[in-house]
Amino acid sequence: MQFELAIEKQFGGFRLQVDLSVEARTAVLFGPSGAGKSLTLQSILGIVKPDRGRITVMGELFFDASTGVNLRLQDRRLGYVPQSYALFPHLTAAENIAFGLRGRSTAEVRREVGAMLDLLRLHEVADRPPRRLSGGEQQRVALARALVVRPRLLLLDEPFSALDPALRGDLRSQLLVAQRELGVGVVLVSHDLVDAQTLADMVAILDGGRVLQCDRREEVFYRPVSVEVARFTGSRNVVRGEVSSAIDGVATIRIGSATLTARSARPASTGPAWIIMRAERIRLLADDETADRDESTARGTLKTATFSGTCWRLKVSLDGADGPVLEVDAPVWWWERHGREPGAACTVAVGSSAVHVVPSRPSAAG
Amino acid sequence: MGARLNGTNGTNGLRPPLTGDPGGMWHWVPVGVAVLSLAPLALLVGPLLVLAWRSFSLEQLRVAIGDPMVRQALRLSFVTTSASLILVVLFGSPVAYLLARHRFTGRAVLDALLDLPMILPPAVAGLALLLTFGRRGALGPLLEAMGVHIAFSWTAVVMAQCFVSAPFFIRAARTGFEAVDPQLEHVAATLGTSPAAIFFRVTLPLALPNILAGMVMAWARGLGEFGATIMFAGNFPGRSQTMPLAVYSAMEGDLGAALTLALILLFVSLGALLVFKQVTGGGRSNIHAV
Repeated sequence: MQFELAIEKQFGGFRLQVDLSVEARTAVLFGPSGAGKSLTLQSILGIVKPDRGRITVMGELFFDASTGVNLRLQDRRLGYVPQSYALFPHLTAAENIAFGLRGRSTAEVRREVGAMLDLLRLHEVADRPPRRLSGGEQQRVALARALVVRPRLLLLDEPFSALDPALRGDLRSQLLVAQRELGVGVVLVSHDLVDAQTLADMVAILDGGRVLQCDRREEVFYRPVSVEVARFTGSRNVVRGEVSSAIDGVATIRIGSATLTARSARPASTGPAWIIMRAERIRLLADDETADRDESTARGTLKTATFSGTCWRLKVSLDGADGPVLEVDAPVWWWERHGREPGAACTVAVGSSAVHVVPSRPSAAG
Repeated sequence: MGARLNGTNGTNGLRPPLTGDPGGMWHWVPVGVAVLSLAPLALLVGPLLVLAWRSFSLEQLRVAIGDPMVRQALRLSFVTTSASLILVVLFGSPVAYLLARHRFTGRAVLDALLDLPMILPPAVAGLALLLTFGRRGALGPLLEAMGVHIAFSWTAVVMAQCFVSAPFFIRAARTGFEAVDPQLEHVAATLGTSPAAIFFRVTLPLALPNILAGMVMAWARGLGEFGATIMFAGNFPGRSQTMPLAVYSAMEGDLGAALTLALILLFVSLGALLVFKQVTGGGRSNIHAV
């Protein structure tokens, strides 16, 4: 799946200015509400017409303001699952799925709809009207309706936000199954970090109508281009530091009294900088443990330890005059063996690839 | 009404007896409210009951149905209201759709203008029609030259009915179209459905309960139309004397015929209202279950 767009659109006081180039099986447009994600999706679909720019999907030109090209929704052949699912209330689940198959033979419609009911386990509710379907069932019917016509691309707007969390995981895997089965590319709009973490090959972070970063998932999560992206993607350690040397992609950083090593594809320059580390990529050393060759260490004091359900969230105050507080996620099994009381001294270890440097002053990248 | 009164008293009776209750007189408040609400009810329903009671005579009904004046009025009312309903639906639906789906300059003005006939005294509407299409009206000479005579014909009856009933239809149909989520139409389009097919497979079926309700209301309004008709179309038996006008004329001579006609109108109107309630009530669950 591949698409490119560079569009501008003014909505009263809101300005959408999005530039994206995506090549992935699943791309997630991620950002807070009001970021312009849904508008971007609707521009690809053809529901919203940009003021300026160009949209190309799978090599086909959909929209070009300069030459006046603007393909109708009908001719774009994109599957669309809106946030509200928009099932036709006057039709049954099966009739909803068959909606786009008008003109095919009865036998073919029955076969295609049957295959979708199988794939998304909807046989039992096939004859029910939408108002008698649960949220998850409605979502699967909307998915089946979009997929049955074999779209070039499947676009979903906040597909899981209306469902209770227990159901989301189930439907995420359903989506993955459907996608693998039919080999269709997916573009998904979401403000749920889990969607981006579990479904995306590629993530675009949007805020205030602009793209902050668009890259492979690991790049966006582990090497954010700015402090904003780091915060949006759930990096809980964004601390001030000083890059004392930067040679061949290896930077030496001072935080408080500690010295860390960062290895990055992007060259860092010396001077004050933001140091970004994900809490789940830092570890505490047990008393008898030593750091790996690749790891830097820092000494500190345990402030608090809170159980989150899947890990222990620790706050460690690093030694030194202005030593910052780092958040560290300790695995439950590890904490059960090596846990300690608040106030205890401890050693934090972090690998060089888990330390990321962002220049202190906003640069061209931001 | 009596049932509600009993219910109120029953509730009071179930309470534990309050001895020496200083607020005992407050127990009479619900009764007072009930008595007060009886007054408007009596004004609304009373005359209709009296009408039904006074005119209900099978013998008189049989005689009246045989009366050529009554038959003509019935036939004319049926033909003209049918014609005006068809015209109103034909020309009103696109206006309703436009108002529901598009923002354009002058929309608010059009909206207000369309509601005007609803509050305008029908006699004023009749006068306006006469001044426009009458022989000496603004378009009179032009129509005269084309050999078209509108005033005091059944065409005039239809025009008067359209004038007063169109807003009822347009308002209801517009509400129906507005209630259809545009996302449904967008999704239908992504599934390759043409705009015309989207209208007939999605928009129309979902707006239909409201459209039908609007048709019932518009038809009933046209059926009862009196003021504009008598101003613009006159009161000629067989040509422009619809049922309400026939009731009015019959009052001067045969009260029996007037009562019978009035009773028929009453039942038809009641029937129309019941259909309206049924249709809108049934439609509500359909539309809002999205």
